[in-house]
Amino acid sequence: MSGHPGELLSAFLDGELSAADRAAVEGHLRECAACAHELEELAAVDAFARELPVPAPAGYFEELPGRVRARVRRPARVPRLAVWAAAAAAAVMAVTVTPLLMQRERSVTAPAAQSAPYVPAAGSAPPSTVPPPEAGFADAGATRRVLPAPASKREAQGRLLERDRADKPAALPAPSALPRPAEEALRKTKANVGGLAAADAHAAPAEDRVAAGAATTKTPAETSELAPAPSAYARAEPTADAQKERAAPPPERKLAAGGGAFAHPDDRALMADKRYQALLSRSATSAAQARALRDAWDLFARDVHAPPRADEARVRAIEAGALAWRLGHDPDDLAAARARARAYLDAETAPQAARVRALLESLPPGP
Amino acid sequence: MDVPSRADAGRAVEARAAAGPAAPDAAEADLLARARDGNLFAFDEIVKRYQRRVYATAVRIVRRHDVADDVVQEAFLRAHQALGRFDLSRPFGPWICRIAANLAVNHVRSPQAREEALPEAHAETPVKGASPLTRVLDTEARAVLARALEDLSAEQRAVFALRVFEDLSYKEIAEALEISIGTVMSRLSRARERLRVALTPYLGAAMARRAEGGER
Repeated sequence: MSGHPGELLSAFLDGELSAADRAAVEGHLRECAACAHELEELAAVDAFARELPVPAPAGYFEELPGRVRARVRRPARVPRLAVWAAAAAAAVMAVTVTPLLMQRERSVTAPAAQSAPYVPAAGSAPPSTVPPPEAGFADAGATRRVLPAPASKREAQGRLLERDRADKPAALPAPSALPRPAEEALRKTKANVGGLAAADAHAAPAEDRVAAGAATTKTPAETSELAPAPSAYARAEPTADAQKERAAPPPERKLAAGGGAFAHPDDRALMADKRYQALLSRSATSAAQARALRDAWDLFARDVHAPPRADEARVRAIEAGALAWRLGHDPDDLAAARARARAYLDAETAPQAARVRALLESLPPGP
Repeated sequence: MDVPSRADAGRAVEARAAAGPAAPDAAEADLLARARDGNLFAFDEIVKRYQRRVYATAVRIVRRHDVADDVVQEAFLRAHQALGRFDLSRPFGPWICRIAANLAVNHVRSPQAREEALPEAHAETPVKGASPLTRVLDTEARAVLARALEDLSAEQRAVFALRVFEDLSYKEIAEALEISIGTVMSRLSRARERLRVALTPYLGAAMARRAEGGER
């Protein structure tokens, strides 16, 4: 070899050279100390790089499988961006449309009896609009799911998923009042979720929760498209709250109370809501923490009787119990988790039977 | 939480799964077959086995946790959708990492990604063991290396990650990133050269230590 091998050194290091090139480089290395030293340094760079740690937030890998599972189960994906934007859009709609509806309802005698368009009370949207954090490592991730990110970041979050949807038509015209990104995302959510909610009424619970969440953010006009309610959750919470919301607070208050989407007029409900969100974002990295979380969910289930959340709390308590076993391998935890799961499945109403049955099947046989 | 470059020492299963492009074990082939038949628990197990490795691949390229998180989820979803076409006699790890790397590079290439804020500064993880001086030097060298990696283009990082951390051949990298083998060779060479120049002040001591360690 006449000159220094240059780029070939790297490929030599990887054993990717042809026999002729390899022989030439070997010959050169025997005579050129500088290149031999460079080769050693290149190898040291690789070794150094392999030692570099890759930081991830605490609890991230405990939560990730659940989030992947929820998305795999869901036939049409609802990206976080779209869900958030739809929630934001719902808040905007609540502000702009609610006064009109309220005016209209004043002239209607029996609002409760009608198949009234459900304007998502901003306050009643919470847990279900946020994709169910089986996730929720307490820090960045959870916050990201609840709070709007800066515009460029939000776009980035949706981008990966948008490629898949590029071939899907944007079915509905966008309400012109919405800000552009929210408008765009809402349109996508409509295109995806509208069909999903109606067609997938029997899908697994995780989807149900998301579909329900998205459904509660629908505008009045399209609520009627969702006639078959996608899940117990979609039916349960809205009606009472919605009436209350429609009747009581002026829309300005909703915005003033905290950006709209998650405010609630009732302090007690607000407390419950905060507690619920706090529990959702809690993660456990030890058996003791998982047991504490299980007990906290139990307590919540006892305090809050509203069906969707109380049920969710019961299921999460079971899941936390199973997590305690996975983290600590204490047979008592396993036995308790199995017993609780069976009790749930044996109960008269088990809205999330599939989820709990799946959990039960994932546990090893009990004693 | 730190993810070691090749394997998670804490978990034997993952360590096996992360041990490079070895032939898949029978249990894994069984899991994959069941996942392909729609068994979500089997797929869940696959996710648990490979999540750290896929995350490491993604975050090494995109350099941001939130984006890496999206990439990882998307990679698993795509793998799930494509399981029907996956040859069960081949190892799953390199395949899913290639999917993740491709998604990650596409993300970083996108014009929107360029508008995003720069990644947060790296928290300096002190190096354990060795003498205080060595620890300081190694910690500093890590920070220098992390910055140098950030200064590479995403394409260079992707090639470097797939080669150095995933042990993929140039041909496999070329297929994963849809580039020619020549491009793989030149990108990797440039990436290594830039890292080498940045790390030069630290490499001598590190090589000497390794030589000592090898002789013992």
